[in-house]
Amino acid sequence: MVTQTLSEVNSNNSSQNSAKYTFNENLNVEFLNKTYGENLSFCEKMFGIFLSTTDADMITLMEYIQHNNYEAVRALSHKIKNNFTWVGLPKLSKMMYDLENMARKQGSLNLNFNITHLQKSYSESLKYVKNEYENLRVFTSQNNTGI
Amino acid sequence: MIRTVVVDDNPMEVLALEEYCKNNEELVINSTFNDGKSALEYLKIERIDLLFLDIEMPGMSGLELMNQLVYFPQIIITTGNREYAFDAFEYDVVDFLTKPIGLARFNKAIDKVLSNHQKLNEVAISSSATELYVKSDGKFVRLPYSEVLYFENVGDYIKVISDRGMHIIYGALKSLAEKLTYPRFLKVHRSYIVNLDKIVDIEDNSLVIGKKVIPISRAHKPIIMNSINII
Repeated sequence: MVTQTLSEVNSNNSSQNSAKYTFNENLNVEFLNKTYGENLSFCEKMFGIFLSTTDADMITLMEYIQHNNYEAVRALSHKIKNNFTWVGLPKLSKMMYDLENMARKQGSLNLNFNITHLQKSYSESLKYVKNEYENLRVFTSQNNTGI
Repeated sequence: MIRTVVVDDNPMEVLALEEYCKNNEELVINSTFNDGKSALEYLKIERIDLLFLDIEMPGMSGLELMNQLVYFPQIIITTGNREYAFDAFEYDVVDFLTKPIGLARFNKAIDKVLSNHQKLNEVAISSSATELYVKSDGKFVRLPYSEVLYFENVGDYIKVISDRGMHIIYGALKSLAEKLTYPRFLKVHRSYIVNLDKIVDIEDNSLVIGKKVIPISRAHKPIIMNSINII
């Protein structure tokens, strides 16, 4: 659990920024505020990396699931599970965590049963991440944020 | 300055650690790697002070990388699975951070690293390519490397055992290992660095120097076996 914010660390550097950024309430606002504080350039980079990497990983993951490639599912879900937390989507992180554990058990559970729910949750959440990224880009270009 | 390397196959985790490191002026990121093999090649050439190391990576895991290290910087394990903690601590790592890593927990780990680094500076040792000086009874005693049998970690102190007797100095073995330039010194256990030229014999998971039986840890066994000539 993040208990210290970057804003505390960077308060001297960012005190000149009077504008306050507000995250979309569909994301885990408490986590995002605690983690990124006023260092929104860091936040913007994290959202940018998420969109440039995790989306492709999710497509690959779905293929692995459809082919019952349990070891590949386990490894990839392990790799990307925390990415969702970093962009304020803890429920998807939990789903990936569960998927990793299911895959570790190698077929004791039917992965296809979960894929629909996972895909739906992901596609719904992705639009929030994309919107947030655009908002962050605009905000950081207009304000001198970050370290 | 703490020369730092980050190894993680996830670019978001790498970026997070880079940002956290920026908040501490003692830390300098020398390089980042997304796979173990590239990192290992770099670490064979470059000396660093701190390694952030993910465990589960394609190609070469963090544990496999540690098995092949020729020297041990301070290592902080970063992983999404707590189940690796036991294996990781076999390697005498400084800390074990579970992802996603919060800044407060990160800072706590860095405090340990800085403390260890500080102890190194407090160790009254001046080393060169051929000798070291040990502070003993208010004097600096010169010890040629060739006379040293082994170093043993005892709490916050290090016993230096040589042909001429024993000296006790304040410091951490890990920090000492970073300073020793003599290529015949090898860490064989988290509590022992031995002079390879002084080994009498090696049996299973121990070796003998003089009459002293010194354990060889599972993690360091491959390193020592690669360092000796077996006919």
